[in-house]
Formats: sequence, structure tokens, C-alpha cells
Amino acid sequence: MVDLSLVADISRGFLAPAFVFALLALALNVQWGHTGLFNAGIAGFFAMGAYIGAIFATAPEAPRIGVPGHAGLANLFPRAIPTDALVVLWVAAASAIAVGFLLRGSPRTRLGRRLRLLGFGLVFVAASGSVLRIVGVPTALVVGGLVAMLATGFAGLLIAIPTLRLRADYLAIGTLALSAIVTESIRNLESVTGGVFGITGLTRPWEFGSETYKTEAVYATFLGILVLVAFFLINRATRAPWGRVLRAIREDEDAALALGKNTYFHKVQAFVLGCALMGFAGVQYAVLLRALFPDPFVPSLTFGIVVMVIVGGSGSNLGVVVGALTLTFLEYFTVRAKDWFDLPTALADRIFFLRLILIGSLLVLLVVMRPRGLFPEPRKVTKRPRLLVRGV
Amino acid sequence: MASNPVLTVERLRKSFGGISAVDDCTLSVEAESVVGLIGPNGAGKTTLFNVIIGMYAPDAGRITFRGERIDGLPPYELVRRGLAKTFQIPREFQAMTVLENLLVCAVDPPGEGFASSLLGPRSVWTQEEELERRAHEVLSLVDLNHLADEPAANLSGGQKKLLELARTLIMDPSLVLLDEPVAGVNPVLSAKLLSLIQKLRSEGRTFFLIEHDMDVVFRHCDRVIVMHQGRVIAEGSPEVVRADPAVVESYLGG
Amino acid sequence: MVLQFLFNGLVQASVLVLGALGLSLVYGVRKFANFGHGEMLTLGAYLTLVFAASTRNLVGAALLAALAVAAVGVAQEFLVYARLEGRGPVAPLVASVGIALVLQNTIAAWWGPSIVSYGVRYPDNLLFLGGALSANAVRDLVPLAVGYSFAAAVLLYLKFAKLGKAMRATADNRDLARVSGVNTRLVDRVTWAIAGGVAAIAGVVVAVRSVTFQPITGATLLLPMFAAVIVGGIGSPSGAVVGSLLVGVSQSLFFFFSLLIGIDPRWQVAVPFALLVTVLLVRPRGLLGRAIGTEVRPLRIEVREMLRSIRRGLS
Repeated sequence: MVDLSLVADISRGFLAPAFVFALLALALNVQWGHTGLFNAGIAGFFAMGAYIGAIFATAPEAPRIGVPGHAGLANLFPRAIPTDALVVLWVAAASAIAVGFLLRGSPRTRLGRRLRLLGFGLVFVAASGSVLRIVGVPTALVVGGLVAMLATGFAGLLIAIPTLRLRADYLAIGTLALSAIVTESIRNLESVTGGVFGITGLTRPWEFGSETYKTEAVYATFLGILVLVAFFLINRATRAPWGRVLRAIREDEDAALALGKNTYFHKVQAFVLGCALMGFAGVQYAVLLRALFPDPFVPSLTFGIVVMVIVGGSGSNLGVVVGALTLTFLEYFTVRAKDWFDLPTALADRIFFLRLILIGSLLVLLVVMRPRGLFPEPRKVTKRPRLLVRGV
Repeated sequence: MASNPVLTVERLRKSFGGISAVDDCTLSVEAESVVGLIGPNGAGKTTLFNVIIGMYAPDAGRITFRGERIDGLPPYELVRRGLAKTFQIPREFQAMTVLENLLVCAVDPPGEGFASSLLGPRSVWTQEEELERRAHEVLSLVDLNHLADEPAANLSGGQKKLLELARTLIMDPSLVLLDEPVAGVNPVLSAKLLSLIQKLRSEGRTFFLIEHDMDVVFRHCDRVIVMHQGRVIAEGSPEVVRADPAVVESYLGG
Repeated sequence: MVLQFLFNGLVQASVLVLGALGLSLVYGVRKFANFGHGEMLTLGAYLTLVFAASTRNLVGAALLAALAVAAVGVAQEFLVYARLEGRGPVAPLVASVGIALVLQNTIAAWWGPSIVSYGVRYPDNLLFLGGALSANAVRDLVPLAVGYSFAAAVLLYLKFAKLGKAMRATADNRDLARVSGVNTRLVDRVTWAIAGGVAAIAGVVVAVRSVTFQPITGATLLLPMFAAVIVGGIGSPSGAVVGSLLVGVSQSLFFFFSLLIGIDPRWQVAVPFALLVTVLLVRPRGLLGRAIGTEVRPLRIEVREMLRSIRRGLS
């Protein structure tokens, strides 16, 4: 008989956070692995997304003595995603595609292509919305996720515009600064974010009461599916000419520029998309934790993701997911090691720091020795993608 | 002045931190010709190319390409209009294969937009296959097709020079700026490359090349322009230029 | 009133100035942003604690610590950064992140994460100018004296000493310097030694001013130090000093105005960030920096081009 509490523990302590970090790693891989843009402020975008998601997904809590309370927007939304909205989306998608096809070959063929693209995009949105409705994800959470992505994408845009005209290290410093501001704001804007008291009362879309193993396993599975979808989409894009331009920029930006690529635009675009995904990951993290405090969003979180990407191999999407799983397992293991094994107290107390020393050393070692990481980029990367991706 | 210029440069100036690299430079390049640009080291030739392709904005002067004013435009605008440039020291994308180095140079392929790459219908990928076919063709022209899947870093110096040329060709340019296209390339390959240039010229393209090998210049160029200290000091047919005392002096005096 | 805050700003800047100077030197000579620089300050503060415990002499301990951290800096060059030559500015930056993690957590593992202190006895504040200015001999005047005098010493060294000039030449154009006979390897090591040494002193100054310190103390100053360096201008050590003054005084004045106007004064930590972003938008080279290598087109042109590309990119 499987130990159900172990299932719950592995889901909650290892798999679910690993999947969230995998999303972050995939995002950083687009920014850094493919385009060479080092984002030192992952924690900031992650936090922004988490708090926006939390604010949308919870009801407001009034301030009490000594506790500032926090804002909440959940009451503004119906529980289930409204079917009207979905119908509108499907109709819009279908019309866009239809009109797009009709315009083919006409003098407005360019517009036709854009409409078809818009249509396919809407199909994706409508399909996702429908699936989420069937599965039972609350509207507030979906809206929160979208707003989080927009907000973090916009924040990324704000920091990218001035810094990406310059060298890559300016972006690193700028994102470090942004991250500090975000975390500081979270602590200061107490009436909105709850400050150090945080936001509590986040519920999972699927709760199973006392059967915690079910709640945890189901959510972990959901996250796993999200990772698969994100992986599929990102892989498709990076194996296309889009990804090729990014890698050219990473290799030699001036050469890419001279050869006619709009490097600034591509860098900003890749960066903003990565930030949006980080915001999305943040929303999932808030729901995972059920209670959100400013504490986890520190630079060592950023650097943990950096290690995941570098272990996985710059440019290899599968590699960074494996890196995320591996490093989260390491964290899970070291925390459990205190309980499972009889460690001398000196070691046990310091295990947190020892893990970070290990990560730091690993980082230095990997940078010095193996710039391409453990999963080097496959030789010919731009291939027509198949549904079952092989040889990533 | 050329009668049907594809490129004109008028009183161009570009300095870096007080040092004038291009100084009151005026020249023109006739359509469907092969024009050589020579001059001692430091004459400003590569800088001129970099300004023409848009890597630097000029401090003063005008550049027109096919009748349109292009000075100050960024490279991606110019490549779209049919201009291309190679690097003096080859700058291949080392982590990519030879083929990928070519593929990435295609001008505005459909899959380059994020939305298209993600949601793009089959046409994105069919165009990719077409592009790949063209890339193989271009590689065959420069005799590199057998190395298509090799990492570009593994090529020899001369092969890298050929790759530089191949990359410009896939951009389907009307004017190609070649910065020392045959430096370091073995004579057999050199000859092949130069006859390729002549063939492409007859198909309607124009070549403006910087070269130090006088033999190459005088045998393959219709006209020669000589630069010294940032400005044009002589121009004309190879024979005329060769005999010009000012030219000889510039090389000796440096 | 304003005078007090101006003064506070100057003191705050003196805390930043040595750290920013070291950061600027490494940035100029080694050409990368050292994300581990904050840890050199922390290390300096903690080593001083160790040495002071045995020698009972804070000043001597601080100088010893400076030597030790200088050695750590040079060791970093030997072990890590020398091997990253020619790989652009991001590789050593990432490596410095790793080194920061190692240093900070080694300190935390050894001394524990909670706050420590030198146990200095702080005298009462002195009053100047008829009460308009209040200053503490130890908390304010020591940082002022130490910070600016060491900064002046470093700047003078750079200007007049043979190695100092060599450092400037290497920062300016490494290849040219090497060809002209400068021993660039030696310059690298001396740069790290000086950067490490003054960072350690900066760490002690921080510790003295803030009374307590902990493993993350140096890291919390990393952002203001970067702001100071970038505002002042990368590649300009005097720029680092000017930048520190600007950051320190601006932050203090903001605090003052926030109290007047009624904004939450805790937002003062955003001031370095705001200055940083403003400089990057308007004048990326900073106040005293040299023009940055690659051409930077005016921002509005970039944004306009980008909007055009978005329209195209959507198709």
C-alpha cells in the first residue's frame, strides 16, 4: 500500500515546486539560453505575478489591530468561466480565420495573413478557456493569470527598453534593481499585499478536504500539464526561424545586426515574453503555497533558477526542465535529510547555507568549465517540429 | 561620376572620438559593375562600408542607394532594400552549422515573427524547406555544400570567407559590399569565387569590394576607387589608377 | 533642517564611496559587473570582527582584514576570472553571482545568520551650528573621515602612481596598454587587491555606522553601489565618487521631502533605482564616463523603430 502522506509530500514538496521552477527555467532559457540576456531579477517578476494572482484569487481582508489586511478581487468574478465569453472567443476566432482565408490572394493578402494568425491565436485562447472551464478553474484565477502576465510583461518592457540598447550587463543590473523595487514595494504597500503578514486564504481549484494527497497530487499534475504545454509552445518557437535569430544575437549581436536583423526588437520581444511567463509561474506558485509572503522572493531564488538553466544547458529546453527537476529534488532532499537521517546538529542547522554554497560553487564551475551545459544544443536545431518532440 | 549609379556617397564624414576615419568622401558605384576600393591601411575603407550598411550613422554627408537616401538607416532596413556586407575578419555564428549560418540570413522569413513561429500555419514550414533548398544551392555555388552540417567554427579561414560571401548571397542583394573577399583563400578557390562574382554581376548584381591584392583588383574590377586618409584621391579604370602618381605615393608614404 | 539631511546624505555617501570605487575599478579594468562585490564588504566586516577579538584593536584589525580581502580578490582573479577572458561581460558576471553565493553563505554558515556587532561604545551626538546639525563622532564622522580619505588616496594613486596610471591605461584600451609595455596581468591583480582592500574598509565603515551587521549586509548595498558607478560613469573612478555623493545625498533628501509631503519614507530605497534608470535612459555613459563603444541611438528613435517592427512582427 502506497503511503499516501508520502504521495502528498512528494507532490507538494518536490513535484509541484519543481514544475513551477521549470516554468521559470524555461522563461530564463528563452531570455538567457537562447538570446544571451541575463535576467538577475527573476525573483521580482515571479513575485509580481504571484501577488497579482493572489490578489485576484482571494477575497479582500479588512485590516485588524496590528495586521494591515490585504486587497482581493475574487468577489468581482463569477466562479466558473462564463460561457458567453467563451462563445464570443470561438466566434471571433472562427471569423478571423474565415476572413483571413478569404483575403488570400487578394491585394489585402498581408492583412489576411495577420487575421489568420490572430484567428489561430484566438483558437488557442478559446480552447484553453474551454478546457479550464470544463476542468473547473475559477474565473478569478484565469483573469489573475492573464493580468499577471500582462503586468510582468510590461514591467519587463519598461526595464528592457533603456537597457537593451546597451550591453547585456546593463540589463542584469537593471533587473536586479527592478527586483529589489518589487520586493520592497510588496513589503511597503501593506494594505494591498498584506506586507510581511502576507495574503492567506488562497484555495486550490480542486480541493479534496481531508484527502490532502489528492489535492496535492492533482495540483501537481495540473502544473505538470502546464509545463508540457509551455514546453511545447516554447520549443516550437525556438526551433523556428524566430529562435534562430535569437541564437544569432546570442552568438554575435553585431554580426546579426550587420546581416540585417533588428536585434533590439528581438531582444526586447524575447525578454518581455520570458517575463510574462515568469509572471504566470508566479500565479501558480501563489496557489501552490496557499499563503503568500514576501520571504521566498529573494536573490537566491533567482540564482537557483540560473543554476537550473546552466546545468540544463543554454538553449536546450528539455535540459532546463531536467535541471529544474534535479535541483528542486536536491532542495527537497536536503530539507528532508534533516528528518530522515540523523545528522549532527552542526550540519543540520547549516544545511540551508551549505546547499547554497554548493549551488554557488556549481555555478562558478559550470561557467568556467562547460559553457554549453550538460545538455548541449543539438547540432541542427531548426527542424520542423513534430507533435511528439524528439531530439530536443 | 557613374551614369547609372546604384550607390552614391556624397561628402561623407565619420569620426570616432576626434579621429576622423572618413573625411569628405565622395564616390559612386555604377549598377551591375564590379568596383574595387583600395588604399593603404587606415584609409577608412572598412569604416566607409560600416557607415554605408548602417552600423554607424554618418556625422555629415549623404548616401543614396537606388535613388533613395539611406544615410542613418539601420542595417535591417538596408538589407531589406537589397544591400549586404561581409566582414573583413569572418564573423560566423560559431555554435551554428554552416547551413544554419545561411538560413539565419534570409531576409524576413515568415517564421521569424513570434506569432508566426508559434501559430504559423504550414506555410511557414514549407517556406522553410524552400529556404533550405536555396541555401544548399548557394552553398554549392561556393563549394561548401559538403560541409553544410558542420559547425561553422570548424571551417578553415578561407572557407569562412566563402561562408561570408554565401551569407550575403542568400539575402538576394542588388549591391554587395565585400570586405577583402579573397584574403587568405587559396588560389583555386579564389579564382572560383571571383568568377562567381563576375557571373552574378552579369545576372544584375553589383559588387563593391575592398581588396589589398592588386592583382585581383586590376584583373577583376571595372573601376577602381582609391582612398587615403578618409577621402577619395583617385578613381577610374585599373590602368589609369595604377599609373596615378598620387596613388603610388599614398601607399609608399602611408 | 535640510542641512541635517544633506549631512546625512554625505555620510551615507561615504559609506558607499569605497565600495563603489572598488566596483568601478573592477568594472573598468576587468570589464564586467561584479555581483559579488557586496560580499567583499561583508567579508571585511566579519574578518575585522575576528581579528579585533584577538588584537582588541579595531583599526589594526580593519587593516588586517583589508589585506585578507585583497588576497581573496586576487585569488578570485587567479581561480576564476582569468579563465573567463574573452567571453564577454556576462560570463564573469554569472560567475561572480556564484562567488557571491559561496562567500555570503560561508559567512552565514560560520557565524550564523543573525546580527553581530563590534560592541563599540558610541558617544553622544555632538551639536554644531547652534543645533542645526547633529552628528555622532563615531557613527558619522568616522565614516566621513575614513571613506573620503581612502577614496582620495585611491584617486591620487590612480592619477600619479606608475601602477595607477597603468591601471587607467588598461581600462582605457587593454590591447594598446599591453602593446605599450604594461603588464596587464599585474594590473589585473593590483586592481583586485585595491578593490578588495577598500571594500573591506567600506565593510567596516558600514558596520560602524549601522552598529550591527549580518551576512546579507554587503549584498544589500550592491544595488546602491551599482547605481553610484553607473550614474557617475563606468570606467571613471572619480565618477564613482561623484555617483556615490549623488546617490547618498539624493536618497537622504528624498527621505526629508517624503516626511514633509507625507509619502511613505520607506520608498527612499527606490531612489538609487530611479537614478539608475534615468541615467540609462538619458545618458548611458553616466556623468563622467567615456562614450560607450557601440553607438547608442536616441531612445525615441529606438522606440519608434520598435513600434514599427511590432506591426511587422505580428504578421
